Amino acid sequence: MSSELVSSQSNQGLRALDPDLPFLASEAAIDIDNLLSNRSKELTAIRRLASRLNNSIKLDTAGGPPRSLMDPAMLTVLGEAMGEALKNQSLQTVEDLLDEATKIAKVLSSEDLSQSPVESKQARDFCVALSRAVMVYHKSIRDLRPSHPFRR
Amino acid sequence: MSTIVHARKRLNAVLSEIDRLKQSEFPYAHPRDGLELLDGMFKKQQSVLGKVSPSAPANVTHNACSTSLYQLHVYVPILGFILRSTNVRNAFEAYPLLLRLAQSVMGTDTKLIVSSEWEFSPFVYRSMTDLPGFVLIGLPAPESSNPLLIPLAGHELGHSVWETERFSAKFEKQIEDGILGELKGNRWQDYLSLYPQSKKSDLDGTDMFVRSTWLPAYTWALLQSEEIFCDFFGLCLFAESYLHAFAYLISPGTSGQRPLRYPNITRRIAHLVDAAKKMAVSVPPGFKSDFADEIEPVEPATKLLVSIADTVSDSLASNLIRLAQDFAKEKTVPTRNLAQVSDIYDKFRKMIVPTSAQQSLTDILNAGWNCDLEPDLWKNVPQVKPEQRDRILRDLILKSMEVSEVHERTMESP
Repeated sequence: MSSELVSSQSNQGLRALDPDLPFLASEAAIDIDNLLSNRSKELTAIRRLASRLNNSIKLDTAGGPPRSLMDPAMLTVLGEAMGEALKNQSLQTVEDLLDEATKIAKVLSSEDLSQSPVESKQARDFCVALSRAVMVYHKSIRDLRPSHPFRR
Repeated sequence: MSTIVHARKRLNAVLSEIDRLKQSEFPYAHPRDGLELLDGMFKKQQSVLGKVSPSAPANVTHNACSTSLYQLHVYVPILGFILRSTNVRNAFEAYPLLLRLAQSVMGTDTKLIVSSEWEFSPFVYRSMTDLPGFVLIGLPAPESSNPLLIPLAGHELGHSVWETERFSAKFEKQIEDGILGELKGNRWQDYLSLYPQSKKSDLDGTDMFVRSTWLPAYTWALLQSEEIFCDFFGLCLFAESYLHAFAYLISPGTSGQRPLRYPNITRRIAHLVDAAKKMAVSVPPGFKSDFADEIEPVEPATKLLVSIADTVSDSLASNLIRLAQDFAKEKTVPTRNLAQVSDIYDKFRKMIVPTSAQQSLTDILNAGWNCDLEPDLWKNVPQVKPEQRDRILRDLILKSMEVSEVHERTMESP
Protein backbone atom coordinates (compact mmCIF):
# COMPACT_ATOMS: atom_id res chain seq x y z
CA MET A 1 0.00 0.00 0.00
CA SER A 2 1.47 3.38 -0.97
CA SER A 3 2.13 5.99 1.70
CA GLU A 4 -0.20 8.35 -0.18
CA LEU A 5 -3.03 5.87 0.27
CA VAL A 6 -2.33 5.41 3.98
CA SER A 7 -2.29 9.15 4.44
CA SER A 8 -5.58 9.64 2.58
CA GLN A 9 -7.14 6.89 4.70
CA SER A 10 -6.19 8.68 7.90
CA ASN A 11 -8.49 11.58 6.93
CA GLN A 12 -11.15 9.30 5.59
CA GLY A 13 -14.70 9.40 6.87
CA LEU A 14 -17.36 6.73 6.52
CA ARG A 15 -18.82 6.28 3.05
CA ALA A 16 -21.61 3.84 2.26
CA LEU A 17 -19.81 2.45 -0.77
CA ASP A 18 -16.43 1.93 0.92
CA PRO A 19 -15.61 -1.62 -0.14
CA ASP A 20 -13.53 -2.46 2.92
CA LEU A 21 -15.94 -1.13 5.54
CA PRO A 22 -17.79 -4.41 6.29
CA PHE A 23 -14.49 -6.21 6.79
CA LEU A 24 -12.93 -3.42 8.88
CA ALA A 25 -15.99 -3.21 11.17
CA SER A 26 -16.06 -6.99 11.55
CA GLU A 27 -12.37 -7.10 12.46
CA ALA A 28 -12.89 -4.29 14.97
CA ALA A 29 -15.70 -6.32 16.59
CA ILE A 30 -13.40 -9.37 16.86
CA ASP A 31 -10.62 -7.27 18.38
CA ILE A 32 -12.96 -5.67 20.94
CA ASP A 33 -14.19 -9.11 21.91
CA ASN A 34 -10.61 -10.31 22.33
CA LEU A 35 -9.77 -7.26 24.45
CA LEU A 36 -12.77 -7.91 26.67
CA SER A 37 -11.71 -11.52 27.19
CA ASN A 38 -8.01 -10.63 27.56
CA ARG A 39 -7.06 -12.74 24.54
CA SER A 40 -5.14 -9.97 22.79
CA LYS A 41 -4.57 -6.24 22.77
CA GLU A 42 -4.78 -5.69 19.00
CA LEU A 43 -6.12 -2.18 18.35
CA THR A 44 -5.36 -1.44 14.68
CA ALA A 45 -8.81 -2.11 13.22
CA ILE A 46 -10.55 -0.49 16.21
CA ARG A 47 -8.50 2.67 15.82
CA ARG A 48 -9.04 2.81 12.05
CA LEU A 49 -12.79 2.54 12.49
CA ALA A 50 -12.74 5.11 15.29
CA SER A 51 -10.85 7.47 13.04
CA ARG A 52 -13.39 7.07 10.22
CA LEU A 53 -16.27 7.62 12.62
CA ASN A 54 -14.62 10.70 14.14
CA ASN A 55 -13.94 12.09 10.66
CA SER A 56 -17.64 11.73 9.83
CA ILE A 57 -18.96 13.87 12.66
CA LYS A 58 -18.21 17.53 13.26
CA LEU A 59 -18.48 18.41 16.93
CA ASP A 60 -19.58 21.90 17.89
CA THR A 61 -16.99 23.33 20.28
CA ALA A 62 -19.61 25.81 21.54
CA GLY A 63 -21.68 22.91 22.85
CA GLY A 64 -24.23 22.78 20.06
CA PRO A 65 -25.38 19.52 18.46
CA PRO A 66 -22.87 17.54 16.36
CA ARG A 67 -23.13 17.82 12.57
CA SER A 68 -22.96 14.98 10.05
CA LEU A 69 -20.20 15.02 7.44
CA MET A 70 -21.64 11.85 5.88
CA ASP A 71 -23.57 11.55 2.65
CA PRO A 72 -27.31 10.80 3.14
CA ALA A 73 -26.87 7.12 2.22
CA MET A 74 -24.16 6.59 4.84
CA LEU A 75 -26.23 8.44 7.43
CA THR A 76 -29.15 6.07 6.83
CA VAL A 77 -26.87 3.01 6.93
CA LEU A 78 -25.36 4.29 10.20
CA GLY A 79 -28.88 4.81 11.58
CA GLU A 80 -29.79 1.21 10.76
CA ALA A 81 -26.61 -0.07 12.41
CA MET A 82 -27.10 2.05 15.50
CA GLY A 83 -30.76 1.03 15.73
CA GLU A 84 -29.73 -2.62 15.71
CA ALA A 85 -26.94 -2.11 18.22
CA LEU A 86 -29.03 -0.08 20.69
CA LYS A 87 -32.02 -2.37 20.74
CA ASN A 88 -33.83 -0.64 23.59
CA GLN A 89 -33.35 2.95 22.53
CA SER A 90 -35.23 4.78 19.83
CA LEU A 91 -33.36 7.03 17.46
CA GLN A 92 -35.82 9.55 16.08
CA THR A 93 -33.56 12.20 14.68
CA VAL A 94 -30.17 12.72 13.11
CA GLU A 95 -29.08 14.51 16.30
CA ASP A 96 -29.96 11.40 18.36
CA LEU A 97 -27.95 9.27 15.95
CA LEU A 98 -24.90 11.54 15.95
CA ASP A 99 -24.94 11.75 19.75
CA GLU A 100 -24.82 7.97 19.98
CA ALA A 101 -22.21 7.71 17.23
CA THR A 102 -20.03 10.23 19.07
CA LYS A 103 -20.26 8.11 22.22
CA ILE A 104 -19.28 4.97 20.28
CA ALA A 105 -16.38 6.81 18.62
CA LYS A 106 -15.17 7.86 22.07
CA VAL A 107 -15.24 4.26 23.30
CA LEU A 108 -13.40 3.05 20.19
CA SER A 109 -10.75 5.74 20.71
CA SER A 110 -10.31 5.14 24.45
CA GLU A 111 -6.97 4.02 25.87
CA ASP A 112 -8.27 0.87 27.54
CA LEU A 113 -11.57 -0.54 26.35
CA SER A 114 -11.54 -3.32 28.93
CA GLN A 115 -12.05 -0.71 31.68
CA SER A 116 -15.61 -0.03 30.47
CA PRO A 117 -17.01 -3.45 29.54
CA VAL A 118 -20.66 -2.39 29.14
CA GLU A 119 -19.82 0.41 26.70
CA SER A 120 -17.26 -1.76 24.94
CA LYS A 121 -19.78 -4.57 24.43
CA GLN A 122 -22.17 -2.01 22.97
CA ALA A 123 -19.38 -0.73 20.68
CA ARG A 124 -18.63 -4.33 19.64
CA ASP A 125 -22.30 -4.93 18.77
CA PHE A 126 -22.35 -1.64 16.86
CA CYS A 127 -19.33 -2.79 14.83
CA VAL A 128 -21.13 -6.03 13.93
CA ALA A 129 -24.31 -4.14 13.03
CA LEU A 130 -22.38 -1.60 10.94
CA SER A 131 -20.62 -4.38 9.05
CA ARG A 132 -23.98 -6.00 8.28
CA ALA A 133 -25.76 -2.76 7.36
CA VAL A 134 -23.03 -1.78 4.88
CA MET A 135 -23.14 -5.22 3.25
CA VAL A 136 -26.92 -4.89 2.90
CA TYR A 137 -26.50 -1.47 1.26
CA HIS A 138 -23.85 -2.76 -1.16
CA LYS A 139 -26.18 -5.58 -2.12
CA SER A 140 -29.03 -3.13 -2.76
CA ILE A 141 -26.81 -1.18 -5.16
CA ARG A 142 -25.67 -4.36 -6.90
CA ASP A 143 -29.29 -5.42 -7.33
CA LEU A 144 -29.94 -2.25 -9.34
CA ARG A 145 -27.93 -3.81 -12.15
CA PRO A 146 -30.24 -6.05 -14.17
CA SER A 147 -29.14 -9.67 -14.04
CA HIS A 148 -29.57 -12.17 -16.81
CA PRO A 149 -33.29 -12.59 -17.66
CA PHE A 150 -33.15 -16.37 -17.29
CA ARG A 151 -30.59 -16.58 -14.47
CA ARG A 152 -31.93 -18.01 -11.21
CA MET B 1 -18.62 -23.96 15.20
CA SER B 2 -18.87 -25.61 11.80
CA THR B 3 -19.62 -22.16 10.34
CA ILE B 4 -16.12 -20.93 11.03
CA VAL B 5 -14.60 -24.23 9.90
CA HIS B 6 -16.44 -23.86 6.60
CA ALA B 7 -15.28 -20.25 6.31
CA ARG B 8 -11.63 -21.29 6.77
CA LYS B 9 -11.95 -24.09 4.21
CA ARG B 10 -13.53 -21.69 1.69
CA LEU B 11 -10.54 -19.38 2.07
CA ASN B 12 -8.11 -22.28 1.66
CA ALA B 13 -9.91 -23.25 -1.54
CA VAL B 14 -9.70 -19.77 -3.03
CA LEU B 15 -6.02 -19.46 -2.11
CA SER B 16 -5.31 -22.76 -3.89
CA GLU B 17 -7.17 -21.44 -6.91
CA ILE B 18 -5.06 -18.27 -6.89
CA ASP B 19 -1.92 -20.43 -6.86
CA ARG B 20 -3.21 -22.22 -9.95
CA LEU B 21 -4.08 -18.92 -11.66
CA LYS B 22 -0.55 -17.67 -11.05
CA GLN B 23 0.66 -20.38 -13.41
CA SER B 24 -1.22 -18.73 -16.32
CA GLU B 25 0.62 -16.96 -19.11
CA PHE B 26 0.03 -13.25 -18.72
CA PRO B 27 0.46 -10.99 -21.74
CA TYR B 28 1.29 -8.04 -19.47
CA ALA B 29 2.24 -7.60 -15.82
CA HIS B 30 -0.79 -6.06 -14.17
CA PRO B 31 -3.02 -9.16 -13.91
CA ARG B 32 -0.23 -10.96 -12.07
CA ASP B 33 0.22 -7.96 -9.74
CA GLY B 34 -3.52 -8.10 -9.05
CA LEU B 35 -3.34 -11.78 -8.19
CA GLU B 36 -0.51 -11.14 -5.72
CA LEU B 37 -2.59 -8.49 -3.96
CA LEU B 38 -5.67 -10.72 -3.80
CA ASP B 39 -3.53 -13.54 -2.47
CA GLY B 40 -2.38 -11.22 0.33
CA MET B 41 -5.93 -10.05 1.01
CA PHE B 42 -7.31 -13.59 1.41
CA LYS B 43 -4.37 -14.53 3.63
CA LYS B 44 -5.17 -11.50 5.79
CA GLN B 45 -8.76 -12.76 6.00
CA GLN B 46 -7.47 -16.12 7.17
CA SER B 47 -5.53 -14.42 9.94
CA VAL B 48 -8.59 -12.35 10.95
CA LEU B 49 -10.71 -15.49 11.15
CA GLY B 50 -7.94 -17.01 13.23
CA LYS B 51 -8.44 -14.23 15.78
CA VAL B 52 -12.07 -15.20 16.45
CA SER B 53 -12.23 -16.67 19.93
CA PRO B 54 -14.11 -19.96 20.45
CA SER B 55 -15.98 -18.14 23.22
CA ALA B 56 -16.88 -15.10 21.05
CA PRO B 57 -20.58 -14.21 20.96
CA ALA B 58 -22.51 -15.71 18.07
CA ASN B 59 -23.08 -12.34 16.37
CA VAL B 60 -19.32 -11.66 16.23
CA THR B 61 -18.47 -15.11 14.88
CA HIS B 62 -21.31 -15.15 12.37
CA ASN B 63 -20.47 -11.71 11.12
CA ALA B 64 -16.79 -12.60 10.71
CA CYS B 65 -17.84 -15.60 8.58
CA SER B 66 -20.41 -13.50 6.76
CA THR B 67 -17.90 -10.78 5.79
CA SER B 68 -15.48 -13.49 4.67
CA LEU B 69 -18.24 -14.94 2.49
CA TYR B 70 -19.07 -11.45 1.21
CA GLN B 71 -15.42 -10.93 0.23
CA LEU B 72 -15.57 -14.18 -1.74
CA HIS B 73 -18.67 -12.91 -3.55
CA VAL B 74 -16.81 -9.67 -4.30
CA TYR B 75 -13.44 -11.07 -5.33
CA VAL B 76 -14.05 -14.47 -6.94
CA PRO B 77 -15.53 -12.74 -10.03
CA ILE B 78 -12.35 -10.60 -10.12
CA LEU B 79 -10.25 -13.77 -10.24
CA GLY B 80 -12.32 -14.95 -13.21
CA PHE B 81 -11.88 -11.52 -14.79
CA ILE B 82 -8.10 -11.78 -14.39
CA LEU B 83 -8.10 -15.24 -15.93
CA ARG B 84 -10.14 -14.05 -18.93
CA SER B 85 -7.76 -11.11 -19.42
CA THR B 86 -5.23 -13.67 -20.69
CA ASN B 87 -7.56 -14.91 -23.44
CA VAL B 88 -6.27 -14.39 -26.96
CA ARG B 89 -9.58 -12.91 -28.11
CA ASN B 90 -8.60 -9.68 -26.30
CA ALA B 91 -7.22 -6.90 -28.53
CA PHE B 92 -3.78 -6.85 -26.91
CA GLU B 93 -2.56 -4.37 -29.56
CA ALA B 94 -4.84 -1.74 -28.01
CA TYR B 95 -3.67 -2.35 -24.46
CA PRO B 96 -0.54 -0.12 -24.37
CA LEU B 97 -2.42 2.89 -25.74
CA LEU B 98 -5.33 2.35 -23.37
CA LEU B 99 -2.90 2.03 -20.48
CA ARG B 100 -1.23 5.31 -21.47
CA LEU B 101 -4.65 6.95 -21.57
CA ALA B 102 -5.61 5.53 -18.16
CA GLN B 103 -2.29 6.65 -16.68
CA SER B 104 -2.61 10.12 -18.15
CA VAL B 105 -5.98 10.66 -16.48
CA MET B 106 -5.46 8.72 -13.25
CA GLY B 107 -1.73 8.88 -12.57
CA THR B 108 1.32 7.01 -13.72
CA ASP B 109 0.90 4.32 -11.03
CA THR B 110 -2.42 3.24 -12.51
CA LYS B 111 -2.66 -0.42 -13.41
CA LEU B 112 -5.03 -1.57 -16.10
CA ILE B 113 -6.57 -4.96 -16.78
CA VAL B 114 -8.80 -5.39 -19.82
CA SER B 115 -10.79 -8.57 -20.20
CA SER B 116 -13.28 -10.19 -22.52
CA GLU B 117 -16.42 -10.80 -20.51
CA TRP B 118 -19.49 -12.90 -21.09
CA GLU B 119 -22.13 -10.23 -20.72
CA PHE B 120 -23.14 -7.96 -23.54
CA SER B 121 -22.35 -4.65 -21.94
CA PRO B 122 -18.99 -3.08 -21.16
CA PHE B 123 -18.39 -2.48 -17.47
CA VAL B 124 -15.77 -1.46 -14.96
CA TYR B 125 -15.25 -2.65 -11.41
CA ARG B 126 -15.32 0.12 -8.84
CA SER B 127 -11.93 0.62 -7.25
CA MET B 128 -11.35 -1.77 -4.42
CA THR B 129 -9.25 -1.07 -1.35
CA ASP B 130 -7.46 -4.35 -1.84
CA LEU B 131 -6.58 -3.50 -5.45
CA PRO B 132 -5.43 0.12 -5.10
CA GLY B 133 -4.78 1.95 -8.36
CA PHE B 134 -6.28 -0.78 -10.51
CA VAL B 135 -8.75 -0.13 -13.33
CA LEU B 136 -10.56 -3.26 -14.51
CA ILE B 137 -12.49 -2.85 -17.76
CA GLY B 138 -14.59 -5.66 -19.20
CA LEU B 139 -15.67 -5.71 -22.84
CA PRO B 140 -18.24 -8.13 -24.33
CA ALA B 141 -16.41 -11.26 -25.51
CA PRO B 142 -17.81 -11.30 -29.08
CA GLU B 143 -16.60 -7.71 -29.51
CA SER B 144 -13.45 -7.73 -27.42
CA SER B 145 -11.23 -8.05 -30.49
CA ASN B 146 -13.15 -5.26 -32.23
CA PRO B 147 -11.13 -2.05 -31.81
CA LEU B 148 -14.07 0.07 -32.97
CA LEU B 149 -15.69 -0.43 -29.56
CA ILE B 150 -12.67 0.81 -27.58
CA PRO B 151 -14.23 4.30 -27.24
CA LEU B 152 -16.71 2.74 -24.81
CA ALA B 153 -13.77 2.15 -22.48
CA GLY B 154 -13.78 5.95 -22.14
CA HIS B 155 -17.12 5.73 -20.34
CA GLU B 156 -15.77 3.01 -18.06
CA LEU B 157 -12.62 5.00 -17.37
CA GLY B 158 -14.96 7.84 -16.40
CA HIS B 159 -16.31 5.72 -13.55
CA SER B 160 -12.81 5.19 -12.19
CA VAL B 161 -12.07 8.92 -12.49
CA TRP B 162 -15.38 9.79 -10.79
CA GLU B 163 -14.49 7.58 -7.87
CA THR B 164 -10.80 8.35 -7.43
CA GLU B 165 -11.40 12.09 -7.77
CA ARG B 166 -14.38 11.78 -5.39
CA PHE B 167 -16.47 13.83 -7.81
CA SER B 168 -19.65 12.63 -6.12
CA ALA B 169 -18.78 14.87 -3.17
CA LYS B 170 -19.14 17.90 -5.47
CA PHE B 171 -22.78 17.06 -6.09
CA GLU B 172 -24.08 15.39 -2.91
CA LYS B 173 -25.37 18.61 -1.35
CA GLN B 174 -26.87 19.87 -4.62
CA ILE B 175 -28.65 16.56 -5.06
CA GLU B 176 -30.02 16.51 -1.52
CA ASP B 177 -31.21 20.12 -1.84
CA GLY B 178 -32.65 19.44 -5.28
CA ILE B 179 -34.66 16.46 -4.07
CA LEU B 180 -36.03 18.27 -1.04
CA GLY B 181 -36.86 21.29 -3.24
CA GLU B 182 -38.78 19.10 -5.67
CA LEU B 183 -40.62 17.29 -2.88
CA LYS B 184 -41.70 20.52 -1.22
CA GLY B 185 -42.53 22.18 -4.53
CA ASN B 186 -43.70 20.46 -7.71
CA ARG B 187 -44.13 16.99 -6.21
CA TRP B 188 -45.70 17.80 -2.85
CA GLN B 189 -49.16 16.46 -3.71
CA ASP B 190 -47.67 13.19 -5.00
CA TYR B 191 -45.63 12.82 -1.82
CA LEU B 192 -48.69 13.59 0.30
CA SER B 193 -50.65 10.86 -1.42
CA LEU B 194 -47.95 8.37 -0.34
CA TYR B 195 -47.47 9.77 3.17
CA PRO B 196 -50.78 11.51 4.04
CA GLN B 197 -49.77 12.59 7.55
CA SER B 198 -46.74 14.53 6.33
CA LYS B 199 -46.10 18.23 6.71
CA LYS B 200 -43.67 20.13 4.49
CA SER B 201 -41.72 21.17 7.56
CA ASP B 202 -40.99 17.46 8.26
CA LEU B 203 -38.79 17.41 5.17
CA ASP B 204 -36.61 20.19 6.57
CA GLY B 205 -36.11 18.33 9.83
CA THR B 206 -33.81 15.51 10.74
CA ASP B 207 -36.35 12.77 11.39
CA MET B 208 -34.71 9.50 10.40
CA PHE B 209 -37.92 7.97 9.02
CA VAL B 210 -38.67 10.98 6.83
CA ARG B 211 -35.13 10.87 5.43
CA SER B 212 -35.57 7.20 4.53
CA THR B 213 -38.63 8.08 2.39
CA TRP B 214 -36.55 10.07 -0.11
CA LEU B 215 -33.20 8.26 0.14
CA PRO B 216 -33.81 6.13 -3.01
CA ALA B 217 -34.23 9.32 -5.05
CA TYR B 218 -30.91 10.56 -3.70
CA THR B 219 -29.13 7.29 -4.51
CA TRP B 220 -30.56 7.15 -8.05
CA ALA B 221 -29.82 10.80 -8.76
CA LEU B 222 -26.22 10.34 -7.65
CA LEU B 223 -25.76 7.18 -9.73
CA GLN B 224 -27.43 8.83 -12.75
CA SER B 225 -25.14 11.86 -12.43
CA GLU B 226 -22.14 9.52 -12.46
CA GLU B 227 -23.42 7.81 -15.62
CA ILE B 228 -24.06 11.15 -17.32
CA PHE B 229 -20.54 12.28 -16.42
CA CYS B 230 -19.09 9.05 -17.81
CA ASP B 231 -20.89 9.54 -21.12
CA PHE B 232 -19.51 13.07 -21.30
CA PHE B 233 -16.03 11.87 -20.42
CA GLY B 234 -16.16 9.18 -23.12
CA LEU B 235 -17.34 11.79 -25.60
CA CYS B 236 -14.59 14.16 -24.55
CA LEU B 237 -11.91 11.50 -25.04
CA PHE B 238 -13.19 9.86 -28.21
CA ALA B 239 -15.50 12.41 -29.89
CA GLU B 240 -17.57 11.05 -32.80
CA SER B 241 -16.19 7.54 -32.38
CA TYR B 242 -17.81 7.38 -28.92
CA LEU B 243 -21.23 8.10 -30.41
CA HIS B 244 -20.73 5.49 -33.16
CA ALA B 245 -19.61 2.82 -30.69
CA PHE B 246 -22.43 3.72 -28.31
CA ALA B 247 -25.05 3.35 -31.05
CA TYR B 248 -23.48 0.13 -32.31
CA LEU B 249 -23.66 -1.57 -28.95
CA ILE B 250 -26.84 -0.15 -27.45
CA SER B 251 -29.33 0.86 -30.16
CA PRO B 252 -32.25 0.43 -30.37
CA GLY B 253 -32.26 -0.89 -26.78
CA THR B 254 -34.13 -3.81 -25.33
CA SER B 255 -37.75 -3.59 -24.28
CA GLY B 256 -38.75 -3.28 -20.66
CA GLN B 257 -38.44 -0.96 -17.71
CA ARG B 258 -35.53 1.47 -17.78
CA PRO B 259 -32.76 0.84 -15.23
CA LEU B 260 -33.17 3.32 -12.39
CA ARG B 261 -29.46 3.98 -11.97
CA TYR B 262 -29.22 5.39 -15.52
CA PRO B 263 -31.11 8.27 -17.06
CA ASN B 264 -33.70 6.76 -19.38
CA ILE B 265 -32.29 6.32 -22.87
CA THR B 266 -34.16 9.30 -24.32
CA ARG B 267 -32.61 11.63 -21.75
CA ARG B 268 -29.24 9.95 -22.05
CA ILE B 269 -29.20 10.61 -25.79
CA ALA B 270 -30.43 14.18 -25.32
CA HIS B 271 -27.58 14.84 -22.88
CA LEU B 272 -25.05 13.36 -25.30
CA VAL B 273 -26.36 15.51 -28.15
CA ASP B 274 -26.17 18.66 -25.98
CA ALA B 275 -22.67 17.79 -24.85
CA ALA B 276 -21.59 17.06 -28.44
CA LYS B 277 -22.69 20.56 -29.45
CA LYS B 278 -20.64 22.08 -26.64
CA MET B 279 -17.61 19.93 -27.48
CA ALA B 280 -17.82 20.58 -31.25
CA VAL B 281 -18.45 16.90 -31.93
CA SER B 282 -20.64 16.02 -34.92
CA VAL B 283 -23.66 13.91 -34.09
CA PRO B 284 -24.27 11.18 -36.69
CA PRO B 285 -27.48 11.64 -38.69
CA GLY B 286 -30.39 9.72 -37.17
CA PHE B 287 -28.54 9.20 -33.88
CA LYS B 288 -31.52 10.20 -31.74
CA SER B 289 -34.07 8.16 -33.64
CA ASP B 290 -31.92 5.01 -33.48
CA PHE B 291 -33.05 4.45 -29.88
CA ALA B 292 -36.45 3.25 -28.71
CA ASP B 293 -38.17 4.69 -25.64
CA GLU B 294 -37.98 2.74 -22.42
CA ILE B 295 -40.84 2.01 -20.02
CA GLU B 296 -41.03 4.04 -16.83
CA PRO B 297 -41.85 2.33 -13.51
CA VAL B 298 -45.52 2.29 -12.49
CA GLU B 299 -45.32 1.51 -8.78
CA PRO B 300 -46.31 4.89 -7.22
CA ALA B 301 -43.39 5.41 -4.79
CA THR B 302 -40.76 4.31 -7.33
CA LYS B 303 -42.40 6.36 -10.07
CA LEU B 304 -42.34 9.51 -7.93
CA LEU B 305 -38.82 9.05 -6.61
CA VAL B 306 -37.22 8.15 -9.92
CA SER B 307 -38.90 11.06 -11.65
CA ILE B 308 -37.44 13.36 -8.97
CA ALA B 309 -34.03 11.71 -9.43
CA ASP B 310 -34.36 12.34 -13.19
CA THR B 311 -35.19 16.02 -12.70
CA VAL B 312 -32.31 16.53 -10.30
CA SER B 313 -29.70 14.70 -12.37
CA ASP B 314 -30.89 16.61 -15.49
CA SER B 315 -30.31 19.87 -13.66
CA LEU B 316 -26.65 18.93 -13.15
CA ALA B 317 -25.91 18.10 -16.79
CA SER B 318 -24.26 21.44 -17.64
CA ASN B 319 -21.99 21.19 -14.61
CA LEU B 320 -21.12 17.62 -15.53
CA ILE B 321 -20.15 18.59 -19.10
CA ARG B 322 -17.88 21.31 -17.74
CA LEU B 323 -16.38 18.92 -15.20
CA ALA B 324 -15.57 16.34 -17.88
CA GLN B 325 -14.03 18.96 -20.18
CA ASP B 326 -12.04 20.68 -17.44
CA PHE B 327 -10.70 17.41 -16.10
CA ALA B 328 -9.63 16.16 -19.55
CA LYS B 329 -7.99 19.53 -20.24
CA GLU B 330 -6.17 19.54 -16.91
CA LYS B 331 -4.79 16.08 -17.66
CA THR B 332 -3.80 17.18 -21.19
CA VAL B 333 -5.55 14.19 -22.71
CA PRO B 334 -5.14 14.18 -26.50
CA THR B 335 -8.39 15.21 -28.14
CA ARG B 336 -9.58 14.27 -31.60
CA ASN B 337 -7.69 16.20 -34.30
CA LEU B 338 -9.69 16.38 -37.53
CA ALA B 339 -6.63 16.85 -39.73
CA GLN B 340 -4.93 13.79 -38.25
CA VAL B 341 -8.14 11.78 -38.52
CA SER B 342 -8.37 12.72 -42.18
CA ASP B 343 -4.74 11.74 -42.77
CA ILE B 344 -5.18 8.30 -41.19
CA TYR B 345 -8.51 7.84 -42.99
CA ASP B 346 -6.80 8.48 -46.33
CA LYS B 347 -4.13 5.89 -45.54
CA PHE B 348 -6.74 3.30 -44.63
CA ARG B 349 -9.09 4.08 -47.49
CA LYS B 350 -6.77 4.88 -50.40
CA MET B 351 -3.72 2.77 -49.65
CA ILE B 352 -5.04 0.11 -47.27
CA VAL B 353 -2.04 0.62 -44.98
CA PRO B 354 -1.76 1.44 -41.30
CA THR B 355 -0.41 4.76 -40.19
CA SER B 356 3.37 4.99 -40.30
CA ALA B 357 3.57 7.85 -37.82
CA GLN B 358 2.69 8.13 -34.17
CA GLN B 359 -1.01 8.89 -33.78
CA SER B 360 -3.30 9.24 -30.84
CA LEU B 361 -5.77 6.51 -29.94
CA THR B 362 -8.72 8.80 -30.52
CA ASP B 363 -7.55 9.82 -34.03
CA ILE B 364 -6.97 6.20 -35.07
CA LEU B 365 -10.41 5.17 -33.82
CA ASN B 366 -12.20 8.10 -35.44
CA ALA B 367 -10.49 7.36 -38.75
CA GLY B 368 -11.47 3.70 -38.32
CA TRP B 369 -15.10 4.59 -37.75
CA ASN B 370 -15.13 6.95 -40.74
CA CYS B 371 -13.97 4.06 -42.91
CA ASP B 372 -16.42 1.64 -41.35
CA LEU B 373 -19.30 3.97 -42.14
CA GLU B 374 -18.16 4.40 -45.75
CA PRO B 375 -20.53 2.16 -47.73
CA ASP B 376 -18.27 1.98 -50.78
CA LEU B 377 -15.04 1.34 -48.88
CA TRP B 378 -12.65 -0.70 -51.10
CA LYS B 379 -15.42 -1.66 -53.47
CA ASN B 380 -13.13 -0.74 -56.34
CA VAL B 381 -10.28 -2.85 -54.96
CA PRO B 382 -10.64 -6.32 -56.47
CA GLN B 383 -8.17 -7.89 -54.01
CA VAL B 384 -10.47 -7.06 -51.08
CA LYS B 385 -13.43 -9.37 -51.04
CA PRO B 386 -16.57 -7.93 -49.40
CA GLU B 387 -16.50 -10.55 -46.64
CA GLN B 388 -12.90 -9.53 -45.77
CA ARG B 389 -13.66 -5.82 -45.47
CA ASP B 390 -14.37 -5.64 -41.74
CA ARG B 391 -11.47 -7.87 -40.75
CA ILE B 392 -9.00 -5.89 -42.86
CA LEU B 393 -10.22 -2.62 -41.41
CA ARG B 394 -9.86 -3.94 -37.85
CA ASP B 395 -6.35 -5.18 -38.64
CA LEU B 396 -5.39 -1.75 -40.00
CA ILE B 397 -6.69 -0.08 -36.84
CA LEU B 398 -4.91 -2.51 -34.53
CA LYS B 399 -1.68 -2.33 -36.54
CA SER B 400 -1.82 1.49 -36.41
CA MET B 401 -2.03 1.24 -32.64
CA GLU B 402 1.04 -1.00 -32.56
CA VAL B 403 2.97 1.38 -34.83
CA SER B 404 2.05 4.32 -32.62
CA GLU B 405 3.18 2.48 -29.52
CA VAL B 406 6.50 1.61 -31.16
CA HIS B 407 7.03 5.31 -31.94
CA GLU B 408 6.09 6.21 -28.39
CA ARG B 409 8.59 3.74 -26.91
CA THR B 410 11.30 4.76 -29.36
CA MET B 411 10.90 8.37 -28.27
CA GLU B 412 11.00 7.37 -24.62
CA SER B 413 14.17 5.30 -24.88
CA PRO B 414 17.38 7.21 -24.08
